[in-house]
Amino acid sequence: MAPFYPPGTSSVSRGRMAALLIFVSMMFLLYVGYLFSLQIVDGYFYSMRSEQVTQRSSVIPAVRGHIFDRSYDEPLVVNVDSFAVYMNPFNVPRGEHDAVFERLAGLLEISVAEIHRSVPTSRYGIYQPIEIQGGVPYETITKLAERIEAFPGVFWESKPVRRYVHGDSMAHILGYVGEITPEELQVLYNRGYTGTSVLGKSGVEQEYDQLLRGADGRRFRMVDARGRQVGEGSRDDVPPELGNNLVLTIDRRIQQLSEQALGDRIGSVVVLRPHTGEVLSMVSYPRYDANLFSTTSRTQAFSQLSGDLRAPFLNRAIQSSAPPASSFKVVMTAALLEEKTFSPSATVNCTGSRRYGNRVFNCHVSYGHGRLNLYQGLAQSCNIYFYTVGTDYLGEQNIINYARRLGLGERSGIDLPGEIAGVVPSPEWKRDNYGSPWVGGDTVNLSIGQGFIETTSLQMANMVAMVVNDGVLYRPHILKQVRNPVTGEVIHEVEPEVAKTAEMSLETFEETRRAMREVITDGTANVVITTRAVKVAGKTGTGQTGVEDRLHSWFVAYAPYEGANPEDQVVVVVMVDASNDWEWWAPKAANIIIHGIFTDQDYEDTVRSLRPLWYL
Amino acid sequence: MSNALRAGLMVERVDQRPVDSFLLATLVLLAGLGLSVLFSASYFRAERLFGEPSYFLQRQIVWLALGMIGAVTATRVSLDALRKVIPLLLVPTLVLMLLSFVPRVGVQVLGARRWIILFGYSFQPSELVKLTLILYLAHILSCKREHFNDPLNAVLPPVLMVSFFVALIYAQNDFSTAFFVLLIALSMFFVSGFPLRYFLSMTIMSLPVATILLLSREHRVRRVLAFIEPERDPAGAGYQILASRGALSDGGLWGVGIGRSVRKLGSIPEAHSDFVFAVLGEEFGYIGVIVVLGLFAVFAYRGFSLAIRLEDNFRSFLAFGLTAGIFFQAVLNMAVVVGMVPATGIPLPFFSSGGSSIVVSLVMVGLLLNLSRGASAYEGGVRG
Repeated sequence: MAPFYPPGTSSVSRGRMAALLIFVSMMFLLYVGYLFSLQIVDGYFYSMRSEQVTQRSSVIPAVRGHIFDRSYDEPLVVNVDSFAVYMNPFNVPRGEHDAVFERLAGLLEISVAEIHRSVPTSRYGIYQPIEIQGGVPYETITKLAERIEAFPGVFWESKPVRRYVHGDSMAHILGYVGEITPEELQVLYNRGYTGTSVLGKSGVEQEYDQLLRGADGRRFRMVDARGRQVGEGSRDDVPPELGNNLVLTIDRRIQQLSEQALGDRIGSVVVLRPHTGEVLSMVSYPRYDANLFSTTSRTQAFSQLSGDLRAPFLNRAIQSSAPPASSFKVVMTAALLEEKTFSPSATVNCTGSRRYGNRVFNCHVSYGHGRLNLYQGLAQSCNIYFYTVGTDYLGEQNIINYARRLGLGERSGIDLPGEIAGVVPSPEWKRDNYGSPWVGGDTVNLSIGQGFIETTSLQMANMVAMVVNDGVLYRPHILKQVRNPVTGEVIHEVEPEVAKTAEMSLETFEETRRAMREVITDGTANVVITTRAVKVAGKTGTGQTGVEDRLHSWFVAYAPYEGANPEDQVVVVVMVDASNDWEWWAPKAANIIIHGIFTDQDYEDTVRSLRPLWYL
Repeated sequence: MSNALRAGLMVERVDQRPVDSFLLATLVLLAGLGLSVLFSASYFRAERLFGEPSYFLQRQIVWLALGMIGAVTATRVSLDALRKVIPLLLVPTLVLMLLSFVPRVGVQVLGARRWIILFGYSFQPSELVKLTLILYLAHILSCKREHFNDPLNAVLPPVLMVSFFVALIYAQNDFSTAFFVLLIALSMFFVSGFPLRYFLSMTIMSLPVATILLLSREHRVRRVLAFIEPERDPAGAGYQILASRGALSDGGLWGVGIGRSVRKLGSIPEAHSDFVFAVLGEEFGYIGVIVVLGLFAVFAYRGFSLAIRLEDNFRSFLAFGLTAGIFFQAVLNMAVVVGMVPATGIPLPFFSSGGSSIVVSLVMVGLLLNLSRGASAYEGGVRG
């Protein structure tokens, strides 16, 4: 076969190749020479010195930053001294592992199996300290020190542990710390974390671990061949960098008020400032006490909490979702006012039920509300009114669009790990998840916040904040300031940041707020929201779960209703889970929280000043 | 594909003359040595991260086997047929490069979008660009070298093609590979007899751009500063260089012994990939380093002298490009490890862990072996 291209030769190329090669060869020789000086000449002098003494370095652990609430007076999280017992398996003489393990287990009052979990047989040869137990009391350490020759390879170090001053309060916000797992190490290996790092596992401790942790320092010293210190190191010690102190947006008093108002009911509370996105309180019940994780019984405490079916680790304000039920009618009201497809003053006649296709949908008042306009419909939470406008005047696409425009179905971007997006269903979503097409009944259910739609408490708070702010949502946040741990100087101040804007008319928001006010003055919440401290606007929600007498209780509200300085306004959302006995508690809790905030009282005084009240 | 083309790639048409046995022996020694150093350098990290000391070794062996298949194939294809499909090779390379920007297919690791995931294996398409671009440049420069005085027709196409691929690699946030590909391309332009005045104008045009690109990312600026004075920030950007230099000087003349490197137990970052040479220097000492350098030098000598001997321009340029692609990369990597040039993410061929690099390197060597068939008896013209 003939060649595709004629062969060509050129002397230019050969010459240039040769020139380039000479250049490269010279570089190469230079490199060989450089390596010689580095490895032989430097190495020779270096080894001269190291024959008598070697330089060792040890870690000076950094002190983790403290966490404060917004008042910045006393910390919520501090470090307290404690001891940890370590083993370096390499230093345990061959064949003595079992005996040492047994003695150590007896001393620490743990099982041999637990030590084996930390030091499996495969790691006997590893030269690396492994922590056997943290939070060891001083008396145990003195016993260990007396008989240290019976424990080859075992040593202890003072290791500060985190103390959560308020116990289980704010547990879901603050989170907790723990030892790094192999999975976490894979991700963080190149970012200064080591196999013995302690890092935040949830909440603020996790989210801002890099700010809190600081950087370990190093102490250099010269040791002889037997490891005895013979002098200072040739290098200066590297002092550890202290972790930063964090100031949260949380108001400790409002947090405690909210926690006590919710009581021991499974559910969540969110209180935030709509004007800045600052979260003043965030409650999730049941809680856990992270202080247990630094005691000797931490394994037991952890497995007990993990096995609790009520999921105490779950932050229900952002990590669980439920149908918003009637509180979704606020979205419907805004949608209807903006779309203007049905006049707010036009009425729908509620007879207690309405038929769609072959299904009958009921109102919660079986004999019917009679004729209602939009404001009366929201105030009375009339299902028939919203079924009618939802299916006949808005349609599912409009409802879906407005739900999304008001922040439902997406993460808000709060600075806490693990936030979920909830669900705003759509025909495509239903086809993908259920394999069946969207039907009219789905629109009917969506109109009253039932069916497939699911929201978190934080999303409902954001939705109300957008109504309050004429469509602007500030990103909800927990961190207020980063402060220098020594001087207290503010290093970073978190500024309000617009997360989302709903382009809707000012009139729509104003009228929605008016409708929410009528819920309190003339509607369903009239009998529960009794506070005279401030004008409240809000909406109740009672979510069906498909189980008889098991209902979610929602209340979404803000106060003051109008006229106030916007900086003083707060949004309050309470969600009481259906697994509690039905008490219609959400609006009641909100009443206590709002009254407490605006009268500046704690829970006990608030309750006292609201009495006599039919539910207290 | 036309019938002629298919026939061209057929194995029966293979040239039966023997390949350069020196080159082959060097390759086998480098690959074997590379594997054992990699195991020593990686078992600690593998044990810590994956609980399986041979994790990186196993993966490397799989890739090495794949690369061997590629290399054997590359020694047996007909170069004339290959030359005909070179323009077609650019298309899949481009597609793979663009895939790295597609969410879910392209993955971001430590801020760089260099990898794509196919069938559960990650692949770095910029490695493939090296091979494709060397083939393309050997082809186009040998065709156009008679017309270098007509810039629009002869100069612009290869310059644009190179700039385009380099820009794509840069967009993956892979400054080091972009720079390296550019270096290879420039050296090929140079040996093809590219008029020096073009070089001058290209350099003047590209210097400010390169400076801006270099200084546009904080980590690059920090690396350059750390290169100038590593002691300034011993815990941060200067850390890698100080750790690898320390490892080399610990090695001394004879080394601390195979498998006994202490520095790899944490203080040398990326000891299994970009900094594997530091572990080699610590464990095998200056002697071991010189042996490896010597192997690369023999490789370069055989490759470059082949390039000078081959009379057909395409083959000559190709031999030069392939040899330079491996050798320059090795030199650059080793220069980084001792701190002679700022830290970059360039793997050491045959030594560093990394599938795409090993496969592409082996295919490149396979092609070089193919070119070496009976080269000493080569007497002009292309065998038909």
